[in-house]
Amino acid sequence: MNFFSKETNKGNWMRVTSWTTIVYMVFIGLPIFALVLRGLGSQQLINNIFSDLTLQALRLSFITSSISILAIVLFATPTAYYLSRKAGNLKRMIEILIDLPIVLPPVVAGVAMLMAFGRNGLLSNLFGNTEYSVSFTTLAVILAQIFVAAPFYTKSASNGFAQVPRELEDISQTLGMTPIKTFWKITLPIASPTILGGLALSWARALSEFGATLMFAGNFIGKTQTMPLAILSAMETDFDAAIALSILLLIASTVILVILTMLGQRSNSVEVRE
Amino acid sequence: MNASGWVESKIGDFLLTNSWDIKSGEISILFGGSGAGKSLTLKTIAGINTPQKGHIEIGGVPVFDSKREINIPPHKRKIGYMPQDYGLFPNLNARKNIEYGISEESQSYIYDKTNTLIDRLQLTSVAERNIDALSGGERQRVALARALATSPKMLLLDEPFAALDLDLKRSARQEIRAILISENIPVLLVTHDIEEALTLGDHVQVIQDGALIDAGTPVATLTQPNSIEIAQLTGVENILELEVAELLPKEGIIIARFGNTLILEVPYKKVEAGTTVSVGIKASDIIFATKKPQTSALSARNILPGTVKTIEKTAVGYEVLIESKDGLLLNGHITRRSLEQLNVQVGDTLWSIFKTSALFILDN
Repeated sequence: MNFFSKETNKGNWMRVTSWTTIVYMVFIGLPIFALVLRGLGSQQLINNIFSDLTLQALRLSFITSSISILAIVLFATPTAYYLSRKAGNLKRMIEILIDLPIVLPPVVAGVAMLMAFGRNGLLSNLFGNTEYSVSFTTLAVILAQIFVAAPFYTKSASNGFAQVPRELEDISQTLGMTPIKTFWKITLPIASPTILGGLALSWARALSEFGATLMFAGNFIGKTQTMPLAILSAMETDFDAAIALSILLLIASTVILVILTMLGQRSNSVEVRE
Repeated sequence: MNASGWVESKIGDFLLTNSWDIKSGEISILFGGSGAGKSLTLKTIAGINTPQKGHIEIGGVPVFDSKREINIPPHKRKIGYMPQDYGLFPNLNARKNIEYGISEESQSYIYDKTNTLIDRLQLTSVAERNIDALSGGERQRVALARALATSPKMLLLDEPFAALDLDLKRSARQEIRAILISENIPVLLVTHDIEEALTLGDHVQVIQDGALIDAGTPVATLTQPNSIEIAQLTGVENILELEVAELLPKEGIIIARFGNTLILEVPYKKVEAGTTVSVGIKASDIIFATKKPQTSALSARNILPGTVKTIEKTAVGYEVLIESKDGLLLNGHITRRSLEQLNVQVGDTLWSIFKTSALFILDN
């Protein structure tokens, strides 16, 4: 009755928060525990991990996501800097467009990419070329990954750059450094912990990409079948292989998360003075 | 080589108009309140802000000219700029900060130049430290060393002492002044601190709302200001509205009146009899007496009784506010020892005594 009365408010509230936390942890932890348990129970785990199917998917995932991340860094870094130094409506509109892939269902992203880059897509019609298209190629895998993963990097990088006081860049220039040298020597190093955090997040997203890849690139072994797609296929034929692939992805994701957390801590300890 | 120029810069509704001509080895002070356009002037000279109109010359080289469409970017202007709070690079240690601007020179040049500056600014023991681990005074010296390392043709300092505590401020001022003068380059230093302007400056410009309102030697311009604006900026505690009763140019005085009974002697200035003038006097120029002094035994000409309204503690002593019978309010400063010795209480009668020359007529 006096659950929210002033005297007992805090004690009860803390009890509520601790219970929700426990339920939360169990809910997240249980499937992961179950997956690992099932994997360890499988006689074939090691064999499955080193099977041709798994290694092919792993190699493809690793190569495509690495290329995707490289492309994202090359293109999104200057854009992120541009956004960090601009204000106004144009900037807000650009930001909305950049964020869109985060909220867009990946399947929709895949369909949209087909419409743009597919055999009968906008681009091929525009250039009158219906012979060749990037859809259902390894390049399509990369494009799909870039599409869904880029916002995570761009946002972090933009935040990182925005934390660097403009005054430091001004001073660097009065000390004889050009704007581009200033970017390399001052802005980028100071923003780097935040940027690296975004990089890890973005890479994790590229690695786990599924929906857009399936729609736009298909599911061809050795060509477009990345780890998440290989899990889907394996679920239908070889359940133990699916478990092995899942555990591999779980390990990869956890490693990324740990790196991310460590970088985040480092970024907190770097004090940027205004 | 002089540094000279003029600018007109409009940012939103704010219009900055300023001009300067500073000789080598001279420290010119840009004095004013916050939002006056002091920092903007420095940024404009540095090339961080581009004015609409103007001509800026540094070391005999025009770096900006609106008519000839010259606008040299900041990294080619050869200026040393030290912003408020110093703007040290947090990703570099003290030494790396200092050598930042010369990092593309030869190793031996960097080594010699940096070590000379570290030596001169007494940073030897902290040179390898991170910026976080430096004290306020050390940061200030690292920032100055960094600005001097590139051998600039002009130095721009924005409130260089504002972040230091009072004791450090005073000792640092003398050291820094010596270093600045030995560099033999024009220095433009921004401050809102009158003590700083007086101890560091060879010349002062007073700026308000983006416009230059007075210029001259610091002592003349700031201690006996000409205008109410400057009096307010320099913290003149008392600005009295007096009626000009009689002009006595031969004696160099004006007889001025307040209310029905108060008569004051003010230094002569050409004003109209019968008009009201604003007259400033600093709280530190007022002497208090608990008994009426003998007028014939005193050189000070202004002696007026009043009642103590308030006594407030200040950073250095006490501020006593007294009110005369006619309602004239006067703020006077007094030390703790004096206060105790005179045993002043609120409601007591005190005589305020001040010299004619302590008063100055302000332009309205």
